[in-house]
Amino acid sequence: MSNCKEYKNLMQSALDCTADESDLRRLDSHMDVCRDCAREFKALKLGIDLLVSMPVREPVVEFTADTVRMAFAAKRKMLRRQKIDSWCFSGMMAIASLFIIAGWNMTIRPGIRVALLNIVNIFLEWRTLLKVFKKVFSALVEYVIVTGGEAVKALAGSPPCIFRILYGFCNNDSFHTNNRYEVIALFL
Amino acid sequence: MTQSPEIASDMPNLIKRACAGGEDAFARIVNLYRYSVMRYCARMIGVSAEDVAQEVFIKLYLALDRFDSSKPLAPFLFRIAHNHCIDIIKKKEIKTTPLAADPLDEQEIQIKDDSPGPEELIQRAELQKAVQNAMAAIPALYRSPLVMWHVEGISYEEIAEILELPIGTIKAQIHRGRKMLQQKLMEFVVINGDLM
Repeated sequence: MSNCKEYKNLMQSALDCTADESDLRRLDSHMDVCRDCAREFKALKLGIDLLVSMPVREPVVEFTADTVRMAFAAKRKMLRRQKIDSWCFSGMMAIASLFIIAGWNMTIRPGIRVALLNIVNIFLEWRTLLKVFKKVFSALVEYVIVTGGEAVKALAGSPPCIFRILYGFCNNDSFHTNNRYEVIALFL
Repeated sequence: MTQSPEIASDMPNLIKRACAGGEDAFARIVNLYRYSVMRYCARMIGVSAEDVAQEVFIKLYLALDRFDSSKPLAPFLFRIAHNHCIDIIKKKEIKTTPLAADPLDEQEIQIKDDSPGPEELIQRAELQKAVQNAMAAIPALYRSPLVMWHVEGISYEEIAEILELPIGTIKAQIHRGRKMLQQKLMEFVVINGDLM
């Protein structure tokens, strides 16, 4: 009885057809003395035998023809559904594209236009500034020409200072009285 | 699962022809496997095996484009059959019921049984009913490899391939399934070894 577990494993091997002849003989001789194991093996074998021999109704004559017809119909339906799905997808993509184009025209493009106009305005403002500088430069050159060699002579004594020059340019009186030589030196 | 070498060598050609829309080629495939599939579905689900087998073949045809025709078809077909049966059991579309509930089947049992004794016939019918009930009570997890191994004669390696499980797990499931079946039938086996 103590080694019944070993024989239970042997029963499984016997049903798996993996037990060899000596194992089967050992199992048989054990079952002669152990009624519990004999009963268990009988139940196991009975269950398997009945499971295998259990009848199944033969398929009807039309089984194959019906199955083939249904399978081909299912395939056609599947292909049709795939086609419809692809059309739906294409339609949705077209609608999405329309929305994108409309959105571009209505919101994004005007925004870009404003931004571009701002850039152009900034450029134009720079051009205005350049014009101002050009005018200043011409005025200074004219001034140098009018004053002549006096300005050049005065250069050696006073180093030019841009801040003072600009201040002087803005404040016309002081420009004429104190810093005129420095301005001439800078632009020459 | 085993098929003649001619059929095995012709199978890739049949599959290609079926994929291309050849009804006769697919009809040959259905004829080859219809009984195996019906038997498997009948033992897995119990009833409506014909309808279930038809659905399995429809699924096979829809998936045939994706199948590598250089490989054997049977494991692929049984995988579809297994998954379909499991789906049905999970959905509880069909409650697992004893097989021979159909009067036609009972009639067949009587025809197939060679022993003429009425007592033995009753005994056998009762036993078969007990096995059917026992099979219905076994979880699908254990029932499927048990049927594949004992009824369809599919090897452990192929069952492992079909169910996508390791061979050790398949062996353990078959052992457990047998044990469950045995426990349900113990009451029919008396001490002296005779039935009933």
